[in-house]
Amino acid sequence: MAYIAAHNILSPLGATSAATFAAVAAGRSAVAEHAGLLPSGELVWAARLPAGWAQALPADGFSPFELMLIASIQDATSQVEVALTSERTVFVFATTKGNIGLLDEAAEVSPALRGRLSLAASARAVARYFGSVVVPVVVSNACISGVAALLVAQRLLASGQYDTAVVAGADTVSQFVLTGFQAFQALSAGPCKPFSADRDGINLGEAAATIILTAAPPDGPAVRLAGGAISNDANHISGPSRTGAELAQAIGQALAEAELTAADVDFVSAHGTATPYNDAMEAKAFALSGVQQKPVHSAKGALGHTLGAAGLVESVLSVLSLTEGCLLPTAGYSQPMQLEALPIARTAQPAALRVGLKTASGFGGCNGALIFTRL
Amino acid sequence: MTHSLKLLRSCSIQNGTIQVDGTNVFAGPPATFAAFATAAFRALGIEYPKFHKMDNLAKLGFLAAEHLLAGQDFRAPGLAARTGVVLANATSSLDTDLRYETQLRQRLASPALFVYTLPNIVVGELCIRHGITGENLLFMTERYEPAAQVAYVANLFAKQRIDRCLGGWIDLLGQEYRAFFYLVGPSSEAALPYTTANVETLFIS
Repeated sequence: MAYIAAHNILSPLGATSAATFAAVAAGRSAVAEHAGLLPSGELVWAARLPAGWAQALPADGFSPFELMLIASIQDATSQVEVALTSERTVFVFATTKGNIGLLDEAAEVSPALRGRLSLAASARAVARYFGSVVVPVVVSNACISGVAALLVAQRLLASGQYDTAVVAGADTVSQFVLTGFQAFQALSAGPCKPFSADRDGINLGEAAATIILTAAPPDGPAVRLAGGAISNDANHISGPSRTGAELAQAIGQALAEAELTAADVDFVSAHGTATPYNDAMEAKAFALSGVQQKPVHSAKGALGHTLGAAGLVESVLSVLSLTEGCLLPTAGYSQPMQLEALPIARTAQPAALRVGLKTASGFGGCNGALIFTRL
Repeated sequence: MTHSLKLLRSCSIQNGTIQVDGTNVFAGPPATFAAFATAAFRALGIEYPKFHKMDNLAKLGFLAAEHLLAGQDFRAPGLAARTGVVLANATSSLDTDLRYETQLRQRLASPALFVYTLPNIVVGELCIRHGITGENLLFMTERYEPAAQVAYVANLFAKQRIDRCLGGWIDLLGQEYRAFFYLVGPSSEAALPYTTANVETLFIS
């Protein structure tokens, strides 16, 4: 059990959680057609931060990836008193590729550039920027990194080692990653269509998000991270489980820790990447877990797949769904899947919400599930 | 859980040698990691064609886990979900990232290589091979910090989330490689208690 004291989303739809949430609720999408992202010159649909977004930030030799983290953490920590320099405050980072975008422009890979690709070094630099004296924790677990980082932070707080965890994640859209997903033929030909019969792949996106977790409840009403679990399909390194059983296992364990049942869940913030395999697997997992009739939402159509940041970005959206009493629409949704169709909203719906389930899955067969509750 | 946590077994791979519980079980001739890995795999005498598709980091982890977990089967329903994998690493998938970057610049990007440009894929390979479906995490640190890992893993046991855990360190970049894996779980047998000091001792030996 940990409490959400503050949060931020830095995305193409807004530099704050509120702005991004409002845009997603209004059905907007940051996914657009881009030329010049792929070396072949082909057009690709992706969600990118606007050029010059970091102009107002102190550069100080930080990379775009590190600046995204800094901006996001800055906004979150401005909302609440945090003893950033205390030994009782730990930074927990989530990212899949960190500064990998620096490779795109490099003429050659020098030893200095190699050093900059270290995820732990980026984390140390960002934590130090905020005056942290604790070695930061860095979680890199493919697309569940954001969810995993939150769970790790919750556990660190529960162990009594820390009072506060600043959990931040980010990933950039880079040629390195785009070409890889293109090689997998996993990119959508247009704006992606989560949980749709005619879904055809992902859009990549870039964003950063931060959640400040505390062991002690803050003053006033608070959302709790009440439970969570991670599992592995033990099946295939790049394709999901055929049955969804292992994601269902994680969902069940998360609910058990929160002392809740599937019936208590009010909505699901899914991974919903819009690949044929992922969305089918998730629907099966939801059916196995008993949440298949709960309102489901995917943010991937609005913000793209933000990889290591996704679990954090979408957890913040889930927290806001709870506090704003608003079920989010799924941008890009077209026609229901033929098997295991899920209740997907096309427009925002007001609703009294108390329990949200966040799910994520990633390369390497990993799955994560978190339960957020509004007191 | 009535028994205290013990280090049940350890495996270390470095400098062309493989040790289990401090005893050499394999020594390759001085060679590249790729040649060492091929020889070490052959010495296992197992059928696992997927090994040859893995990148070097995944091969390193596969070999260490194969020796560490010899004779253990986690596929029983109760055990699979209650076995964890908690590893730490410094250079991520940089070895493969650089190979992929070369491919990319030649317009030859291959999905088979791209999938290994994530450091946690080695964890996935271990889970597939040994049927492990429980908590699996990869932490990125600049150097191995047993204290943080031991605290985290011990907490998982204390919260009764797992009954066994594969922990340790794995890193590979070019010809510099090190795998140090241990299996920890509650046991009444005489074995090293699971403490930071004992893990550090095993790591540096």
